[in-house]
Amino acid sequence: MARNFKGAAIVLALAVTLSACSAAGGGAGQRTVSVTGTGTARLTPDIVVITLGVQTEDEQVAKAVQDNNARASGVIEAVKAAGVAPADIQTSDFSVSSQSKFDPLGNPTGEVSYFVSNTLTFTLRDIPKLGDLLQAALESGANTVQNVSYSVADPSEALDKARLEAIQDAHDQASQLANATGAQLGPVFNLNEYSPVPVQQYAAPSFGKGGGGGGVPTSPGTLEYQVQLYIVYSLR
Amino acid sequence: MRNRLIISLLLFTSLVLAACSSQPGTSNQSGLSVTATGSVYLAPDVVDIDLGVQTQAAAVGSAVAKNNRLTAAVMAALADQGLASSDIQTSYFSVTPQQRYDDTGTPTGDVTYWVDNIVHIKLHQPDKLGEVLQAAIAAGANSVQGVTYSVSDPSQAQAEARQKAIDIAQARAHLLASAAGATLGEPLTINAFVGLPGPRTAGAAAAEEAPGSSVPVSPGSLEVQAQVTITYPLR
Repeated sequence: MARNFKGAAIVLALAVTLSACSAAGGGAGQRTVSVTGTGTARLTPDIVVITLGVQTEDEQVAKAVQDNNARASGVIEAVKAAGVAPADIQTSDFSVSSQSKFDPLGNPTGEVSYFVSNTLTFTLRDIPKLGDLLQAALESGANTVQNVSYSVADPSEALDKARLEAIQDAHDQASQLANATGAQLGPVFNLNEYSPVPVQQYAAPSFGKGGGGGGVPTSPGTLEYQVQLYIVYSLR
Repeated sequence: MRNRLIISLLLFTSLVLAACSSQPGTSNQSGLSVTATGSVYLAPDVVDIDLGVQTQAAAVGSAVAKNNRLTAAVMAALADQGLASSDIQTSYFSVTPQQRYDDTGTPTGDVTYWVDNIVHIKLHQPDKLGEVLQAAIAAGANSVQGVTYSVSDPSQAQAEARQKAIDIAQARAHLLASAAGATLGEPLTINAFVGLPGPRTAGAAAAEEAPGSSVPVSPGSLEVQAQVTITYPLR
């Protein structure tokens, strides 16, 4: 009898625990409406990151390196002449590799070609100079261009504006949903931000004309960043 | 026996409690969560280089002997450049035979041997990179697998980046809360992730110019990024 009583007490304790748990969850009884608000920041790029370099080839490794050095120096000079600061220029790759020569049967002939590659990644902050800079780099010996990508050095202010827009958007959506169901929008219950996503935009009427000055024709266009806020409102 | 039942019931209860406490936390829980990134730019003070010597010959002995001679010369050149032996490590040594075939695809019995000896170098004076590469190549190095700039002690920059991320996250949380008409409580959870210095060239650190008669290189600057997520309760 006493034992049964003890067993019943434990089961009771468990039941109390379980009900306490569902009450602590809070959300279960709370009426809410969840929406995702979107805000967009459109920015004119103010920096452009360029990766380009020099590749040379010779049967003598020393000759291949020497040719490469001469041309790479010229390229660095051209980049600096365009006003790029040394701190914005980084050697992103330097490599020497060999490739064996083969006869028609696929046997190595014993001769080797050496490939030397010197690659720079740099940031140009004076965008209208891009076309001339690319032209000058290519004329002074660059023979590979891997990347030209526009960016915004500090998009934070524009993103904050986009966040306020996203909150307004979320509020409008939530009000519409609440009204439709005859409820009233209460205070914000939960708010989460998804990271801003840059969206590349190619059509840019205002920046289309002569964006890059002379040399290689280029155009910076517009960069679009999207902010998304996930907001849960309480309903009354 | 009965005791065992009680223990298992208690265990079950605690499991239920644990499951219950971990369950709310996403949309069930009232709160505001922001994630912000902070960046610090700094000049590299170390550059890692992988370079070596590759030789080939029909006799394995002569391929190895040739390689040994050139590698010793490369090591001597590196020492001349002021590199300590503790900053030079043999990272790869291999001997690989390659069969020769006649026009019917049958092995002729002749073999070409390839010998590779690669060292990993840590150079603590990035401004000497061009000279070091030039000296190694002049001494016989004929393969360079790349150069990587880094920072030997990023901890201070990481702390600065973390602080920036926290400041940005707090400012943003207040901006969002006030715009949404909510009031923030004290931070509930803070998560931080700080990365290692990586290549970025959008900084303003000072850099040395490479001297004339060497491989032209430029260290630029590195970026240390921190990401912080803060969750606040809403009042």
